[in-house]
Order: sequence, then structure tokens, then C-alpha cells
Amino acid sequence: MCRQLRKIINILRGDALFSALLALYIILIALTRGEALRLQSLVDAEALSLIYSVMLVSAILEESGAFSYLAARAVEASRGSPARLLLYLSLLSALSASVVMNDTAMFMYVPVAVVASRMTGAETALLVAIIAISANIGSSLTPIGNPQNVIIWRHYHIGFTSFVTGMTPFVAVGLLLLSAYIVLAGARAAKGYPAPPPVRLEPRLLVPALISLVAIILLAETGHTYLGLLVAIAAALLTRPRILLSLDYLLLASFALMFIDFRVIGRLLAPILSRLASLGTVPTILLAAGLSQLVSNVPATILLLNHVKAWRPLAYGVNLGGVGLVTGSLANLIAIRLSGISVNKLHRYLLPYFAALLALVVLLAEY
Amino acid sequence: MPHPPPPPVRGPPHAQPPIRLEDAEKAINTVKAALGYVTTTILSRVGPAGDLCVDIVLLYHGFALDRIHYDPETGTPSPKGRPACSHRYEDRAAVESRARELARQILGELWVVEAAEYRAPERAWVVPLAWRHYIVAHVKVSSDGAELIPDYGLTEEVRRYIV
Repeated sequence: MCRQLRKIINILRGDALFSALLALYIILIALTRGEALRLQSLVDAEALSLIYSVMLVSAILEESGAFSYLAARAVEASRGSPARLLLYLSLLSALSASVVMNDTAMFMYVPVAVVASRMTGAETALLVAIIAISANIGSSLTPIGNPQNVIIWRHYHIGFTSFVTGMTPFVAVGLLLLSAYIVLAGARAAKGYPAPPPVRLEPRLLVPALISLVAIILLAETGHTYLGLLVAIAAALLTRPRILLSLDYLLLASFALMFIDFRVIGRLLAPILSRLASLGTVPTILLAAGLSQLVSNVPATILLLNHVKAWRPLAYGVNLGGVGLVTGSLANLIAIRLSGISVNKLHRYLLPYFAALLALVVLLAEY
Repeated sequence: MPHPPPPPVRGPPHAQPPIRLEDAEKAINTVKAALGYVTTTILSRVGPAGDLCVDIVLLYHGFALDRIHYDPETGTPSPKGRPACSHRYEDRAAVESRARELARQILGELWVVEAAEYRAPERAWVVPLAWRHYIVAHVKVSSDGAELIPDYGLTEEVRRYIV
């Protein structure tokens, strides 16, 4: 019994996010005099199961080696041009993040960015920022690209294509602005680099994963989310059963706690949040982006969900929030840990981009 | 007395791809080409007995290829097969910082051993990487010598650690 307890304590100590959310929950139980214990109404089980399904299929897609294969082809296609290399890598990162979740895209492309900086002479922090931005922006395009989009998609009952259509202007502006950053990267001409060999490509993982992803989306659209979960689990069992055991369940538990904690906080702050969110499109975008800097974009989404009538300002705001401070998106923390660059260095490149995109998005919203 | 017939083999035996010297050479060249694209990250953990174990993980396109054991006492890599965990350290963060520094340095000093072993159950070549006179890592390559095979288990470990 003691050994099991020690194991649990070690897990909690190792996972700061989960521990912080659990501590917050305990505080909220005290503040709400036990109301926060009514878990059933607070946790969006369908959204959680959709996030889990996408995480599972993303893991299979990633192990198929498809995106790594594409990265190798992108380096080959750049034919020694640093600007082309950065452009292809950022587009690939954006595209990948719209299909697998943005944190998965970070794992795949931040190491490539570090190598690209070595090859091209551009500053590592700038290249990592480019990949982080492209993954965050690209992931905003689809409802499955990041957890906040999954939540918004489900809550507002938007169709998949309507969501993509609605987010396209935001993503287009974001990627156009990013291309300016690529020009600023000022990479000098590299001496020429050999094409990297590919990681083993496994079509027998890729095909079932893609079919499962389509099935999950269709089932979620028609209100059969749990059936989509079964499809995801079946795909994992048929292709890589190991993935079922190795998925980050503590992260999933953290999402569940986020729902609970921030729904309770949302109820406590309801009068203020409702008032602020009713001020219009631009204030909603600013509120969502601003809150994301404080509590990260997924909690900010949960906080505002019941107070914002139209989904697009909320989606624009929380996705924009992901490219500001490092705390704006969990995926940014992955970029820092993988590349070893400092938070300040990353901010040096993220924050000007965030300010410029915020201004453009506000203009877009006005007109 | 005649020997009884041998029992039948159930199903056809696993067909192994033919092994050629050229494929081994190709596998070695594949690893050499990949080395320029490898990055590193650190994995550290404290064991149940309080000993600190630090590994430098070789990453390629987001996948882990292998881990190099780091010796916290000497501040150098430890050869493959000798994880160098230690009780004798003052500050975990300082050890990790030194390991990170070594990881950056070591990439330029790794060299590919010009020989490969073949692992039939995995249908893969294993190409050793060396640092000075230690073999410190193994990189797996497909049997045709063309594609790298990641260590998926280590990749998942890195993901959990990073997140």
C-alpha cells in the first residue's frame, strides 16, 4: 500500500500541470463549499473522448513515419536554398499540425528546425519560433488540430467544413505574416547539404490511421463521438497496440481537471465574463487572446465557452493566444524543452509576431 | 531402426530477406548521412535508491534513435552497456546542465563504425556509433539499408518526459 502511494506521489511530483490543476480543484471545492464536486455536469466527456481519439490516431500517424518522410523530401526539394527550406518546413509543420495535434507537430519538426539552423546559419531561436508559430497557426485550421478547437467544435455544433472555412482567413493571414519572418531569418546560403535519409515508412500504419481519422470526424459530426472512440481504439489494436498503453493518460486527466477547474471558475466569474464577452467581436478576440496568456488557451476556451455566442471570435482569440507568451499554449513548452533555447529568446520572436497578427486579426474582424 | 519422420512445421517458415555486403555498406552510409541531422535531448531520472541516471537521447526528425549513457561523476559518455547512475551528485539541475552541454559537443565527435551487425528477428542492420574509443549508441537501419528505424519505446519515453 505504501509503495503504491509512493508511486502515485512520484507521478504527481513529476507532472507539474496535473498537480497544479489538482491543487486548484481542491481550493475550488473549498471556495464553492462542495459544489465543485458535481463532476458530471462539469466534465465534457464527449469532448474528452474526441481528444483521446485524435491523440490515439495522431500517435499511429506519427509512427507511420509519413511526416518524417515528408520532412526529408522537403529538405531534398529545397535544393540548398535556405529560404525554400524554411518555407517548406513551416508549411509542412502547419499542414501536419492541422491533421495531428499541434504538440505532435512540435515533436516532429522542432528537431528539424534545430538542424536547419545549423545548416543555414540562421538563429536557432528564430527557426524554432517559426516552427512553433506554423504548428500553432496550422493547427487552428481544423477542429482536430488542437484541443481548444475540439472543444469549440463540439460546443457550438459546427460542421467540419464550416469550421475550416471560418478559420481559413485567420490561418491565411497568419501564414502570410510568417513568410515575412522567414525573409527576416536572413539565412545565408548554405554550402549544400545532403538529403537526409528517411525514417522507415509504414503504409500499414498510415492507411488505417487516415481511414480512422476520417471515420472519427464523420462520426463526431453525426453525434456518434463514442463510436469514433471505438474506431480509434480498434485502429490502435490492429496496428500498434503498444500505443494504448503508452499514451499520456496523465495529460488526458489534466484536460479533465481543466474542464472541472475552469468551468467552476467560469461560473464564479460569470457576471464579469458575460459582460466582457458581450461587448462585441473585437473585445471577445482580445479577451480570449489575453486570457490565453494568463492561463493558456485551452483553459481560456473553457472559461469563455458559455459566455460567447459566436464561435469565430473565440476561436480566433484562443488560437491567436497560442502564439504569444510561451504560456499561451502547452505546445510552446514542448518547443522550449526540445530545443533547449531560453524562454526569453523565444519570446523575442514570438511576441512581435503576436502583436502584428493581433493587429491584422482585429482589422480582419472589423471588416 | 529408421528414424521417425520429423514433426511438420506449422505454416511456412519466416522468409528472411537475402543479406548482402552491399546492404551493410548502404546501411552504414545511411547512418553517416543521417548524423548531420541528429539532435539531442536529455532524459534524467532518480532511481528508487536515489541514484541519478542521465541519458543523452539522439533524436532524428522527432524520433529517438538511441540513448547515450552519461556518467555524472566523470562528465563524459559511458560506453554502451554501462548505464552510469550515481549517488554522488550535489545538484541535479547542475548535472543536467553539464549533460546538455556535453550533448551539444558530442554531436560533432560521434563517428560511425564501418561495420554493421544484422538482427534477423528485427530484419534490421545495427550500425554502431562511437565516441573516441567507446561504442556509445546503435542505430537501426532497414534490411535494404535505406531507412532508419527509430526506437519507438524510447521515443515515447522522451515524449512523456518532455511533456
